[in-house]
Amino acid sequence: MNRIVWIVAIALIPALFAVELLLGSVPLTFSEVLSALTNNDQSLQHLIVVKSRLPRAITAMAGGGGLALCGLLMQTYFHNPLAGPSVLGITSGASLGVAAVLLAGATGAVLPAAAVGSLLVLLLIMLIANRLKSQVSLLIFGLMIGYLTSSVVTILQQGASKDALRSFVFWGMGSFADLNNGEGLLLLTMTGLAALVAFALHRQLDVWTLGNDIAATMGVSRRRFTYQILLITGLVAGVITAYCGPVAFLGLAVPHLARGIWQRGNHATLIPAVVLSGMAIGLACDLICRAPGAESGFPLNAITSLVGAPVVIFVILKGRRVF
Amino acid sequence: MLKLENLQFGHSGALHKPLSIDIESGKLVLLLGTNGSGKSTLLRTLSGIIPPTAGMLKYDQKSVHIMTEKQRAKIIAYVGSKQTSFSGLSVEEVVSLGAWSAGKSTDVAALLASHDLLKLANKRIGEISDGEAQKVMLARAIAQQTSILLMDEPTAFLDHPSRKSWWNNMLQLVTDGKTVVMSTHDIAFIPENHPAIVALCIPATSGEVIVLENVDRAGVERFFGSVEK
Repeated sequence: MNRIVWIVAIALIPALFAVELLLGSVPLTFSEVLSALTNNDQSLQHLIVVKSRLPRAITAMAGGGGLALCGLLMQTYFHNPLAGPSVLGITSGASLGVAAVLLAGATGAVLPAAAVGSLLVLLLIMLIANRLKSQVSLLIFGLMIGYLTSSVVTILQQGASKDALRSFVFWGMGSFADLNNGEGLLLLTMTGLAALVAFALHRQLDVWTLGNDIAATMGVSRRRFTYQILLITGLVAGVITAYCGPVAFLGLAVPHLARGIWQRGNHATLIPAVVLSGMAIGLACDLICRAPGAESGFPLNAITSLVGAPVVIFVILKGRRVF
Repeated sequence: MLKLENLQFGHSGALHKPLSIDIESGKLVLLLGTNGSGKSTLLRTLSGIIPPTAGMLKYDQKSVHIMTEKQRAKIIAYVGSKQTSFSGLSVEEVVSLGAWSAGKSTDVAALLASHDLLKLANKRIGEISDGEAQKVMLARAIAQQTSILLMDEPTAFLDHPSRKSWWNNMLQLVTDGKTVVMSTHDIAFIPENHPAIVALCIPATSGEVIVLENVDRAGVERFFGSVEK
């Protein structure tokens, strides 16, 4: 049973990846895609596949897997099933950073601004997380950070140029489409490395689920563990948000789907399961964005929210003790 | 040997006078006192989770609070009073984590069997009852194979027959040479002839922690009454 789940998850990714390359406003056959990938002949097919669809597919895979991994790590760290990069205000922090530089006209500084913004909010949450005992208060904290940043962003917008405003609004809708192959591969490498580092910590993560006191007596240094989680999630969520915008819900929802499918709570299983599911769901969401009928594609956040919001409602209604 | 040197504990300033005592291995140490007197805080201090407000805690000449978590996990195991309802780990996984945390290996199946947990092995720890979870956490602490075991009201969620077998297990550990420090309200389970109990009676208000050394159950009970008033 479990082996079948792994095989399906692993097979789903190349299948969805292939569909990403085949389908679109100009449908291509398998051999056309293959020759476009192998021949650098500057034909239309080559441009479509290599310059547009390939980087998009790589980014969707890396973004989905990376955000899902961040969601898992944050849910474990905060002992909170509703934690995730978008819910806790981390992507809002990135938005604030990006708004500040974009609206000031410094388009080149988007990446560091997003990374700094998200890291600052994550740091703030980790500092006060001890005072926020319940799941709901952490959630409300994230919401308030979201309101605060959006009001600051609105104020910043008053003095901004039309072009700057436009690029900020588009960034805010989220997209896997704006990267080139090199940037996509960078994202994929980062996600892969983060997954390996997280996997090396899988026992510590398991121990951490037993509670902070027990973890402190079972060989896990709270300070060190906090820095490790802060570094992985801040870096991965920050960089993905910088490139792809504040992608909603993927980080929160995918770990729950993986737990439901694999029926396991240990991180040796969950980390690969969540990363693989995230990659597949990232690809699937991007495919839906590019579905025929949408003139310039659906905004990514509209699709991920459609998938993710019901998961949150489900988790709250079920009030699961185990997650 | 566990050595408390002028140890003071508390959250904001020390509530009680400095406490000094040497605890030899193989002792049963009882923490007595009313709710809120500081039993849990003392246990969390002894386990290294929180630092003492003053004084030192030493194990074999080494200060417990400057050890790394890894070093401490090999010496001291701790079972808290709160249940960990958010973990998705299975009972078997939790017990094997105990051995992992101390860098040791153990026969998990045998441990599960001796704690009446075999039929729960594949259940998630968040899905079982509080009493069952308490037994799992004890088995997990034993899997750490430490010389000191600290427990905060470990029998609070257990039914009468479970308490009885739990105490039997516990007394066996003490006989085998483990030092067991626990806060408890049911000393009636201790056999009347159990030798050389140490009891620390924590007063409800500030003052001196009363130390009883080498007493039997009757001796503990006499003081138990006076402390609970």
